[in-house]
Amino acid sequence: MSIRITAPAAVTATIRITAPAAVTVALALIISLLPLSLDEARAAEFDTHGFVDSHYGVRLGEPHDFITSRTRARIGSWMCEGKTWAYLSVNAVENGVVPGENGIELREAFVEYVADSWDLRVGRQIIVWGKADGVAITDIICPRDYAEFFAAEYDDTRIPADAAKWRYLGDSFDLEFIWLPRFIPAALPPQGSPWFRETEFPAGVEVEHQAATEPEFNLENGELAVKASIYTSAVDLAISCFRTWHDTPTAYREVVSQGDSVQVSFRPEYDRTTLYGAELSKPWGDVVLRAEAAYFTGLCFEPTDELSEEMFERDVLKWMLGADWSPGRNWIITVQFVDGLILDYEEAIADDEHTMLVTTSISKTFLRESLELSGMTYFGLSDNDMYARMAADYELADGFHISAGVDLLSGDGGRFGSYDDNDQIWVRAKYSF
Amino acid sequence: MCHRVISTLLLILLATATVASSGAAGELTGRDIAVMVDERPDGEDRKGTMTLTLTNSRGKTRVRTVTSFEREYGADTKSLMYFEAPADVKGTAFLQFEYEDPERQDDKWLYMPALRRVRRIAGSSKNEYFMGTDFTYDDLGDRGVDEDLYELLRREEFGGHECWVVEAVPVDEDYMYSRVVRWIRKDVLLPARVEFYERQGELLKVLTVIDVREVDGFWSMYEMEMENVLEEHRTTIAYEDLHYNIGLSDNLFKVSTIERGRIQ
Repeated sequence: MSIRITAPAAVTATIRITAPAAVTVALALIISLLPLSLDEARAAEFDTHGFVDSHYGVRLGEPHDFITSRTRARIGSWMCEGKTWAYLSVNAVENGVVPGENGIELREAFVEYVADSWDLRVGRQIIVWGKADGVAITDIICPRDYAEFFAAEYDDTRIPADAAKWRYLGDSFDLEFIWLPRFIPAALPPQGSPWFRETEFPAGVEVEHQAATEPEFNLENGELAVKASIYTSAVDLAISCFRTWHDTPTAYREVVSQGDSVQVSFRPEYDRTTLYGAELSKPWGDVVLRAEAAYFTGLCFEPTDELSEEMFERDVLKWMLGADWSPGRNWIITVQFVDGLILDYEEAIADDEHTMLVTTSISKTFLRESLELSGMTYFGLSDNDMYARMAADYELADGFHISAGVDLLSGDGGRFGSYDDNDQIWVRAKYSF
Repeated sequence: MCHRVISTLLLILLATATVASSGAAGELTGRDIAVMVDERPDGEDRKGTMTLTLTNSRGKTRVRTVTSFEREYGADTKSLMYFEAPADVKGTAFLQFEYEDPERQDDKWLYMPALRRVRRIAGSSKNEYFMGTDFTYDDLGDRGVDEDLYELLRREEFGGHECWVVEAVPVDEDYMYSRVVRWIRKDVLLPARVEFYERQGELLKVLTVIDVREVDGFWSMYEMEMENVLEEHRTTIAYEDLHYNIGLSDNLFKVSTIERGRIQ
């Protein structure tokens, strides 16, 4: 249930450069939409936008080194001809801290056809599910890029998926089908990153990491999702089902003992799972109540004993209950409670039976919405660890923001406590065009 | 369209005739005028792009551009605002279903491109300022006639137009304004000037309507300026591409539409 960070860097380095069939088709269609003559260029509609941002963070503790050093430029463009739309966006990244992040990548490339009662989007795209903020319950269509963990904005961590998404669009009812032909794993922090952590083993244990085995690219290994949503005055509701692969690998292991020496060979594999999800949003005066739940079948958990080969396949229930309160005067206050429960739990499982989390967020704008002060906290109730961010953002000119803040991580273990020494103070500048 | 124009003219003529006869009989009240203004024809649907220019006391300006779509569904209204500028909020879309029934809460959804997600939003307060401008949501939208008590103060000429000067005092004593005084043009049933007084009775803001045009048979405020006299801050709203009765599709006013991150 917790995010595993023991896989070798090889797991993380595969996703950006390949161009599978869906993207190739999308690119071909986009190129076919490009105007070939001046007249066509006048007729076609383009809408280009993007941003440049720089984000630098210094570790609060010794050795006060840079823990974040990243400059990104993104340019994206919509093209339209009749009922057909295409979107292309490209990222250029210079990262001085996390190895393997530099370069130019195709971020999104898709073609969309819009009819009166349905639409179809094919290609590399970002698909977002769920009602939870900053926590993924059903929002797992796109895998996550954890390479910079808490130094990245949560909503920037989705890795675009190669997918075909078809939606039936009713008056207040939508039905969507998604097909992801190719599995994309989550990106984990590479060795050398301040966010990389390695599992410690008893002295004398020799450890070997094999490369993760990814599902083969074939029809049978594709991922399928369906979701039905209704929007009413009283409530927004959705139910969903997603036949997928768990996007972080389970570290299956072989343990060989010879005399006093023990050799552990890790063989990471991705497990098949099915998600059954439900989402709800209900306005109530100045408050919106949000709820989300996901039941996962057959997730594999590692044993407490690092030298045991036994793995535990269990179903998991994750759920969230939250509220957004907008009391006026530009205040927004949000609280969420999140729990992940391993069913049929037994003590030999390394993860806790419950992984409970409380998140809070408070923000207010000043100076005619040009200055925003915000605070956000994640409290891990199971591990007594915490992540907090306090930030100020000022709009210096139209589309140009500068912000500064502090990120604090504390605890003796757990998801946040593992990074206890990664507290940082940071500044950021972003120009959008 | 021709039918609409004729209907509109007939309505205005009828209103003028009613006003003339009421005036002669001395029966015209501030509430009568407020009702006429409220019921002024403005089409079944409308769209337009407004540029909001915010200017502070040092002359520094910030510019926001919003394209809005509205369609009437009986007494209820569905509206969509799509933010075009500044670039960091481009693509933000706000979908709202407003209900005539005061007991029924409006439905609101917000799409934020950075989150790639539509979220249901709440907040029944309409006296919040819109995007940091000098206009509240109430200033921009339809405030119910029954939310204020009216008095016709006088008739006078303003900016070369015959006007009624009508004072509106909110029923709700906790409302952000203690009173609002409007100069209503008799010819087009639109304000020429509005003064907003804060709760202690001091003049807070002055709205001046700079440009009124007839578009598709409907009189419209094309450019106006709201000045906050206490904060020495002002906001100008200028419309472009304003049109009425264009047959906006029901599909525009759906959550699934704003989820695309663009209009259409």
